[in-house]
Amino acid sequence: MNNFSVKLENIGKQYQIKKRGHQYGTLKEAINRKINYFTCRKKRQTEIKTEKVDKIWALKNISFTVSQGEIVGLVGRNGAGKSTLLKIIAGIVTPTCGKAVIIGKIGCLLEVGAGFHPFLTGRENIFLSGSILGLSRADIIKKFDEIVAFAEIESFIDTQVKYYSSGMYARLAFSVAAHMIVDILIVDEVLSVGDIAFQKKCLGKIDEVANDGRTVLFVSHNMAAIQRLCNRGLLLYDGKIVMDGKVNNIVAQYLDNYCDTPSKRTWIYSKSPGDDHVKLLSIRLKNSKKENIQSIEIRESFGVEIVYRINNLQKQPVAVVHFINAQWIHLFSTHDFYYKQSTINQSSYEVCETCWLPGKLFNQGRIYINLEISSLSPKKNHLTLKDAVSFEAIDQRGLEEIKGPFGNQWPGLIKPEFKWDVKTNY
Amino acid sequence: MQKKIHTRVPARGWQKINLYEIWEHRELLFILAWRDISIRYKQTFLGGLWAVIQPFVTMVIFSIIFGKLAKMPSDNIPYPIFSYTALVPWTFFVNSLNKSSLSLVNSSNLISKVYFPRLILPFSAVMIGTMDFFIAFFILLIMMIFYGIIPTIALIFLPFFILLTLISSLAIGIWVATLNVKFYDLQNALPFIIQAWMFATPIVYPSSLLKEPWRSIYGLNPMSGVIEGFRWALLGTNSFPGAILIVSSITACMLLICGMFYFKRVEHTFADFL
Repeated sequence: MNNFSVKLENIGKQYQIKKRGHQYGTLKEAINRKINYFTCRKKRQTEIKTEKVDKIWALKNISFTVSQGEIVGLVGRNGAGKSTLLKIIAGIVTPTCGKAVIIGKIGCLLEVGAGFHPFLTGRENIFLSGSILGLSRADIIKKFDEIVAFAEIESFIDTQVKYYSSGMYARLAFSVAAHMIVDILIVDEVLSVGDIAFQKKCLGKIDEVANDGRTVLFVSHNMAAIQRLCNRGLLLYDGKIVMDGKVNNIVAQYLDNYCDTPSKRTWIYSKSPGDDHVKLLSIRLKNSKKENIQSIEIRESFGVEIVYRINNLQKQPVAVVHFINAQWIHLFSTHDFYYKQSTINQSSYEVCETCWLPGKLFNQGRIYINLEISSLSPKKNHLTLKDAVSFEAIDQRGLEEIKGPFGNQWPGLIKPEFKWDVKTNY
Repeated sequence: MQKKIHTRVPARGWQKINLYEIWEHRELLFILAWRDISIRYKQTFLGGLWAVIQPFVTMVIFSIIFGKLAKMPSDNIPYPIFSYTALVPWTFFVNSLNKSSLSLVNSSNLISKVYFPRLILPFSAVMIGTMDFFIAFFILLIMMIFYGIIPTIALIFLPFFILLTLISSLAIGIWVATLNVKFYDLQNALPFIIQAWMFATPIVYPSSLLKEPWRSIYGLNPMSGVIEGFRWALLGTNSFPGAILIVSSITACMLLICGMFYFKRVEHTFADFL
């Protein structure tokens, strides 16, 4: 028996993009083309040369094999070709070249609410959407109660979907899709539906599918989810697979090299940010062993290291590091004022300083760092660098362990741990 | 259990039609048709009455203009029932065309996100009209009782003519649906095409106005075979429209088969186009 469930050989997908940006070819164009084809052959050749059609390879030379039961996370920036790749595997889009073989029934979750109609009731939409996703009527009837219970909409099941809140809509839609009976599940960025409690349920459901020995292909920009669910990762960039390997390495590589804000930056002196007095040379994140890191485990301590050069300053300037989360909420800031020597008798020197952050402080998510370096007297701002570096705060404990009362996302901006005095029979 | 093996390869040139796959998705076919029917009932006040209003009002207008004023011959049958018998399959055909022409364009979100045999979409668009067809047909039976018309033994051929209506609608529907994806112009041209087609079909006049061999050539329009067949089977018009029927049946089947092959040939571009 074959032990792979998805096998891709040299898959490529080319799109033609017309310069004039017509979505529909018009009859006139088609007729003109045909007339030219038959009447003026010579002219035709020049015509073809002048006609500007841009061809873009959305995917190129994609080859990989997924074994049965593997959970593969696809990582890459927008437009890297992740969705196109999933669509080819699902059969929605035909490849331009290459060959793909898929063994087993495919369930495809590219969009929640495929085929939902606002005028139909929840009950009717379950049957409609289920059929579109490839469930048989008998299966839907069998799983109906389960679907409704999972979506938590028991009392609204006979209400038209147009009266649903967007959360209810998304929950019902995901619930139908989550109950597909398939060998291979293809999931594209659909976990962003509903509230946190529901997201947790979705993750759990995918986990359940995966533990069943079924194959899962998973696209998400949520690195924490990818790291938790997947055991293998594929990094796509510009339509090509750049890296294939363990999910932790893939995520690290992606966060470091393919994100807008990397976790380490260095500048050559002539191009470094800052004014005449202060020039930033590098900024990076490091762990206690002084290795570069792209993501932190939220229970471990880590450092933000900055290296800068000072020219002709009487007093040492003060560095301030701001921590901002993905929702643009300013979490807190910290400065080095109390750690600075007051005077140094050199006109030009380099400073390397590290701000150590304790473990058990950050909550999960992406954290961006802004850096400011200023002098206090006289007051002068030497350098302001927004989004200097960023990192992913990840809770690497298993899903079960951290579920607790709030699911995988602990409420609050930060997640510090405090001392509790607990006495019994006081 | 043996697992199904899917192969994805580039699609070039003519593809084979996988009828088994469509059969596997028959539930989807019905549920899509049911969706559109039930939405119409929820959205409109008159609901199923529209199935009758459309052909009936047309019949009244035709009876006044062509029957009373123009004194159009009608093979010795009262003009209202003469035209209504034609309008029942014709209305089905027109509705199928209108629905199919939009079936792919309007389902672009499905086509780009979910896999299923795309032929399901024009198929279900044609299915939507079947209910209206039977409602309108029921009124036809009432009219026949009203006019005291007793059908002859030819009535047993009626199922064949209903099937021919389905085939013709499906054939033209698939063509229109496919072409509409690439040439949006068709959307604007369709009302005119339908209007011209109506006058090229023996609805307001009998095909007996034409002499052979023109009458047989006339059969190249599959709807003329359908309508002559309906009149013959239900109203017992004088002679069996043999030549027209054969030409129409062959044309309809050819159009359907070619249409399906053309559809399959361009199917793979839908997800990119829409």
